[in-house]
Amino acid sequence: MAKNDDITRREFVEGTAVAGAAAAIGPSFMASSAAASALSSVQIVDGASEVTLQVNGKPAAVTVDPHVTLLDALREKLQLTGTKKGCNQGGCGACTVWIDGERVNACMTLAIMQEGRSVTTIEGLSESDELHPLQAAFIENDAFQCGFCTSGQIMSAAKVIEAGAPETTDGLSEAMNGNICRCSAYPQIRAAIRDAAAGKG
Amino acid sequence: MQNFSYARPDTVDSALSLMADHQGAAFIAGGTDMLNRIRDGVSAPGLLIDISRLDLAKVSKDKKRLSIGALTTNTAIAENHIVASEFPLLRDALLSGASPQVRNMATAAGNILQSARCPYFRDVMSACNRRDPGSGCSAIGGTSRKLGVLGVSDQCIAVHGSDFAVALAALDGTVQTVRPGGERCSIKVEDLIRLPEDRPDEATMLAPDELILSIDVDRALAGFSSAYVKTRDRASFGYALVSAAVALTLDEGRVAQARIALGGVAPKPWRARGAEAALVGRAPTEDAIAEAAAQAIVGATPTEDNRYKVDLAARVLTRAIKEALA
Amino acid sequence: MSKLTTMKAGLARVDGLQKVRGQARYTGDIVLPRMAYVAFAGAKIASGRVRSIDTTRAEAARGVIAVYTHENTPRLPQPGGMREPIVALQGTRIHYADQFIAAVVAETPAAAEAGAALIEATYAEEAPVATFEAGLANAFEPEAWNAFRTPISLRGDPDAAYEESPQKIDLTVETAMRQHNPLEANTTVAQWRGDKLMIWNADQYIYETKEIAARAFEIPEEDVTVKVDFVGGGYGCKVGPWPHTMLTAQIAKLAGRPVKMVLSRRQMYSSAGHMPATRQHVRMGFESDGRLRAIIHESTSQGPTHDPQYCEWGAMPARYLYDCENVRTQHYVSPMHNGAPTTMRAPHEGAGIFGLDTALDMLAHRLEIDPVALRLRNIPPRDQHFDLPWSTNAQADVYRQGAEAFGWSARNPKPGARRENGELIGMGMASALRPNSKTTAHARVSINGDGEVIVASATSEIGTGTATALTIVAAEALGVSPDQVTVRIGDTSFPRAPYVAGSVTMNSVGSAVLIGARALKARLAQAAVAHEGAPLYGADPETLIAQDGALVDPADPRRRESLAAMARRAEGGGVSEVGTFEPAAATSSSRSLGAQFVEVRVDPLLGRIRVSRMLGAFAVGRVVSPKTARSQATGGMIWGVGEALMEKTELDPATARPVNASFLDNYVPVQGDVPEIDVLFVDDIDTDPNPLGSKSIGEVVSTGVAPAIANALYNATGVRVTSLPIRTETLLAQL
Repeated sequence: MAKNDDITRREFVEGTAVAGAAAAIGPSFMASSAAASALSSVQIVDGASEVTLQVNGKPAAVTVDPHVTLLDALREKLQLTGTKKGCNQGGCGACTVWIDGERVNACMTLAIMQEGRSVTTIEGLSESDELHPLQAAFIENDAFQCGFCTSGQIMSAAKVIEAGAPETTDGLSEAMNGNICRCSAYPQIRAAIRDAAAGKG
Repeated sequence: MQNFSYARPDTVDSALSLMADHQGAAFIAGGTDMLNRIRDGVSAPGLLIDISRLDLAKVSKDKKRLSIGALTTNTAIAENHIVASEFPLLRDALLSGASPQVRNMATAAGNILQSARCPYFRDVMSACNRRDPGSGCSAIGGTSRKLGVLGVSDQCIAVHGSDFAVALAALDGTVQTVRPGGERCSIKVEDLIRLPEDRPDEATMLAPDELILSIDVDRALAGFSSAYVKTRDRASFGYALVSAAVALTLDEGRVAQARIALGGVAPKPWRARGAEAALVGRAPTEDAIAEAAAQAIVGATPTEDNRYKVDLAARVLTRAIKEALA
Repeated sequence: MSKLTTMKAGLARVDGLQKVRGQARYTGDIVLPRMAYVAFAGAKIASGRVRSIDTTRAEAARGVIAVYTHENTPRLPQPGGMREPIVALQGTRIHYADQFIAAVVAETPAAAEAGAALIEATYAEEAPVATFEAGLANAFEPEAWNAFRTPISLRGDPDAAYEESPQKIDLTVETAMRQHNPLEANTTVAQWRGDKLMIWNADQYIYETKEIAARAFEIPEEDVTVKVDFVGGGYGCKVGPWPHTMLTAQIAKLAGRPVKMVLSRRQMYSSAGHMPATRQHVRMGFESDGRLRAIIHESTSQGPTHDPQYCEWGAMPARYLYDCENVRTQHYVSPMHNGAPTTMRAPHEGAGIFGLDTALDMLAHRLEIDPVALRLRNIPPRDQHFDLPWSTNAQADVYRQGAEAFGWSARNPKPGARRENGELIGMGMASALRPNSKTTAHARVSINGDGEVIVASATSEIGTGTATALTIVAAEALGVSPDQVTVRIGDTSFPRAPYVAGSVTMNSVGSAVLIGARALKARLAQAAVAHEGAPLYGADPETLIAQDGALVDPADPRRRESLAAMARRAEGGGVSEVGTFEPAAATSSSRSLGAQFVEVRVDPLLGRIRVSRMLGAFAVGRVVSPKTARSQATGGMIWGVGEALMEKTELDPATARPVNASFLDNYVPVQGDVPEIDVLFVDDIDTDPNPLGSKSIGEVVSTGVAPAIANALYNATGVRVTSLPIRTETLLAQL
């Protein structure tokens, strides 16, 4: 099965480790051969299991098969339908949520992989009845039409502002290129982000 | 998406043992490639071994090497100050790929190991030797404007979609791997992804139970002048039509060292040694650059649809060399 | 003089709060008790028959409830009227790749999708017609849709006039097959309660879905309700039901549970329409000064083999955009094995203008006439196709005002002459055109004792701002503030409304609301002046003015009574009127017009094209809702950027399978593709076609963008591109 040239293209590493790898791996790996007994503790989930997430600040348990995406769990199990399923392949950004404070595509991860993690959706963006400045700025600048991408745009834009929204149009656009708006409210979205970043929203 | 079993080991050892014990298992980390593969029916693992929480997400350096933990996210690498100061080429390549959301999930190793870009590979109803050995190649004679022109075979003309791997190939990057029992290997990124030849289904050199621990780059290459130039069908969030990674040093007006790789043109990150040779020892004049660009595409075997990539590759490389010199 | 619009002006969307909070409910957001999920499995082949289907693996999969194929799905009466006439699972014949061959019902979406992937079929395959060229062997002349969308037109003697013309342009252009690709895939939720059917459908024409469902299930129309709160973009692919809508309802009945079905992105490429490719042969004859003498425009549209009804009427603009006495237009269809096409923003004129305005640009360059001046020289004084006067004609204004606002005079007519920072910079322009469309519509306008005005109509909100604009119409007509108006749409229990497509909604439903509101006001006035002791008793009801929530006697402004008080006095505590808009027989002809101005920057080494500036000047009647209308315009213009530079559905030339059926392979514009955009609405109030004075906006704004970009590219580089989308390789080959 292996091709002949594999051997010549592999460098077998002697001794403890490559310096960098050792630093990265940590003690569990260094204990290599002795660790076998611990393996029985690794649980193999086959079929439905209960997964607990921290969703919008509260624990939320869902019973899901392993192949259920975080997106489907949020929408169909927790009925947090503000997060949208656009392309279901990481190509549109409509499902953008935060996991542990980072914006990600909820369609591109499994619910079970996020067990115990903190997930924030559009429903959790503003804790009070007051609008988040971005939400207000989106309305004022008409930064949406059909509204289907809007949750994802706002969840994405909030992180752009948090990181310091780029001043140039190119820079701001690059930061928002993962969120497609097929109605193409793009200039309005940029304006809304700028307003919110400037505290005008 | 087909169902599977799931396990989340918390050590490398247990991850390897699980893999050794379960035929048809697969590792999942960021998930941004794996889940689409499963959704598309291209992969059907019986067990997904979630390695995303293993402690392999640090960027570190010692005297000789920069070492990027296999599970470091693309964003974390791009934002890392060591990477930025020593290997901006890696940062630039990473930031030209995918979207911010995907970069927040995708890992270093996953980026390199991402499956081939070919629409027929991802449509299980089409013939594809890479997915289904011996079934034929729908892309040859099909719609192939985004597919490969270098290193392709009569079995497969897919391209490799990673920008990061292109920059790594230019920088002689290696992956450090481990297998059950502790056997460790170092493999050049350039070699890790295979050319299709007569077995396009064997996409990488990794054994099924082999795990990448880190991606290493020799710090002797730190501080080179570099540029990553990428063309695509829209401004951003798109795979390369052609990309070029260039890193070089000058000595008294002549190119002392040059490292060049192309993306979007081949089933793997395409190291262009001919182009390097054309530059080294010469002043980087228009002529020298033109010769390097011409050398880079020697041996190209395009289809009617993607013939333009040969010329485009030369142009993109020309731009990248000039930007690296600027 | 018109001014550039700004995005902040105008009433904010009435549904904005719901949308920014994620509370706007789209069809896929509906979760019902005991709901099951449906996913379809598609055919591998594009032509032939299903020989056998093996469902055992799917049926055995976790969470799968049932699998339906042609073998166990009861036959549905063919309801007719759908854009895709073939309802799947009713037989073995395959007409296009990915045509549904099985439906899997399961407990979760993931289980349904996984089950669908386990369906195995064998086929008796026939060689499909997989390319436009192959279809030409069987090309046919399509049937007319109506008096306007006809295959052939002829006026004057175009062939002789063309031959005699001192200047000729003979040009062949191509436009690509494209997908609507709304972010919300077509979605249906269906639930039966006894014999009554409830459908939630991502739908631009719920009333039609109701009627077709009634026919398909042989139940009375009143037993079918179709609802949609919000549509996540449509652009044409959700106008009424598709077979998946009917199948989902049928499966809900068979499964005895409510079911939800969301098409996969791949299925959006076969089972929810597309814009067909066109190939156009344009011949134009001109006088030496650039005035048109003859147009011969022949356009062939890609079509499906199994349905002759759709044609992309690409030669339309030749009939009514420019002044020309000798015109022949002709349409053909080249049938291929693909799913049914349907209208897509902006159909017909959108494709046709690419041919026409590319040819004009070529002539302008040849004769060294400014492209704006050339168009000003060719403004038709009347509708030469129907031989009617224009209701209004602001064509010169869109060119002049647009050119001035854009800074067109700075354009160097010499191609390749302007270079900055290594980039070649060019400007281009083109006309924009769509019919001003309208059709019958009804709307109920009511007022209750709290003074709340309620507008109800079975239209739907696809993002165009329908609810917001209707709010403005009702508020203005009744003299109340917009926050006193509630617009209720997206429910077939409301009065009938037309498709939310073809840019008809403001003209039609908006007019119905205006008519209803006027009737309501008249009725309130009649009652108020007749009611002894009421403040307006004895006043002239015809003269009363609606303002500030009251009717006021202009003869004595102290005499006034609030609408709320009048409503409270009415029987039942409220008053209601249904307004009906019925288009009158045309005594004039009306168009929506525009001019698109574009600046592009080209990296000549890499062949990279960037649109760096855009301005659209539009004559679209009275702009009722400035904020949402402006967004329609900018969105439509960006839509044109996608058409010009990236969008193309690729079919495999052997199998006719969609090759790039994915957001990862077939690109639409992202934020970085979009420059700042200016919009200008020229004065064009036109109350002839409808009482509101509005005109169609949503589609005209995206026409003309592609030729403007191609013309700008020519100005920047000297490269003439005649095939869309414009790609790196096309440009590099000629640079």
